[in-house]
Amino acid sequence: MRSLILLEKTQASRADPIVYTNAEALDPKHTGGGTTENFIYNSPGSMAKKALYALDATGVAVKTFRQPLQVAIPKSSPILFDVGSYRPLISVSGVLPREAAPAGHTVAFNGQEYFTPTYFQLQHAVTQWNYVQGEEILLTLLHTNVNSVTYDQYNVAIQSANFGLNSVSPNFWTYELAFVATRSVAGNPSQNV
Amino acid sequence: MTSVAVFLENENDWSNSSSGSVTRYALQVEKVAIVIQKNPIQIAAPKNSPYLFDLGTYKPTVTISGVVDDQSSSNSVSLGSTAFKLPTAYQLSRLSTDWWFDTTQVINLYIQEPDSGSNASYFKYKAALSAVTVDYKAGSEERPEFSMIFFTGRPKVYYPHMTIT
Repeated sequence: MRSLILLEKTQASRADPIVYTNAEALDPKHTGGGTTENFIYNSPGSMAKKALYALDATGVAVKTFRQPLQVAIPKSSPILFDVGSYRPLISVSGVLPREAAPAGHTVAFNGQEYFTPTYFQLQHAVTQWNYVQGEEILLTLLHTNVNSVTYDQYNVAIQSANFGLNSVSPNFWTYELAFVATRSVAGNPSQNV
Repeated sequence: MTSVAVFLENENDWSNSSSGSVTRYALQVEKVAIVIQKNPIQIAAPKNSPYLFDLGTYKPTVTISGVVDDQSSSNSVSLGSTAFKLPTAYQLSRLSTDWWFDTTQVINLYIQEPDSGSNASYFKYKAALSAVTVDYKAGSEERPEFSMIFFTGRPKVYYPHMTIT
């Protein structure tokens, strides 16, 4: 299964070295001075790595809603009025392993390694990541020619998350994420010119 | 059919035969659905990228469905070292009316994950019942289907599984 979607959050810290918060770390833990996380117990986290997630996606949809006005005129062609506003929405669906993915099951992109999140890691991100200016959530949609790094990047806010577990497929959670997004920035776009 | 390990606990069950003591049920669940609804605002701007505004609020809802025994048994299932009894349809029906969530009657919903090493791994939600359905059908009267909807908080997670290498 291709990892089409990469998800990450810009960290709050600008220190050198960067100190990741419990929300931003790949391995959040329950104690550690000022980083106590009361909702996680007995987690051996070190919080040394940033949460960079490569989602196993079976479906991705990008919809852009526009809102032009179409004013009907009696016995005449309608008048169209469009202020040029738009609202992109992105939905992603796929599966999540219940246990940690094998070592090395990662996706390399722009010099960083992205990890397949477990259900715990993704649901933690859903509740703990929120869109703040300067600490944006970045969604990267990789196109099929991954080797030449063709991608679209969106700043997103998580609108809803659906997780499912079924007794006939006991090793995986299913997920569906919905995002509201800004206009994308493309890297090396494929286009016929 | 195998079932998903989901457990229900009332820490102070005033409808228990020993009033105020803990009641624990192991549910025979076939499906779990968790919906986390957030509420960001996307403000469209003319000829410009939309503005996003997110307070970071979230509202999880858990829906479970499965089957329940019509007749009593002495069966129980363990989560760690704690035993949970299989409820009957009568007991599910009673808890739908007699359990309510408050500080004196905390209801916990456990979703068990595969063991993390030798440790039990699970999510523990504080949960308020929103709806309970017990559905009898001809031919399966001994094991009617049920569904339960809970409004929950953020879960406490014990020994979580994480991909870190």
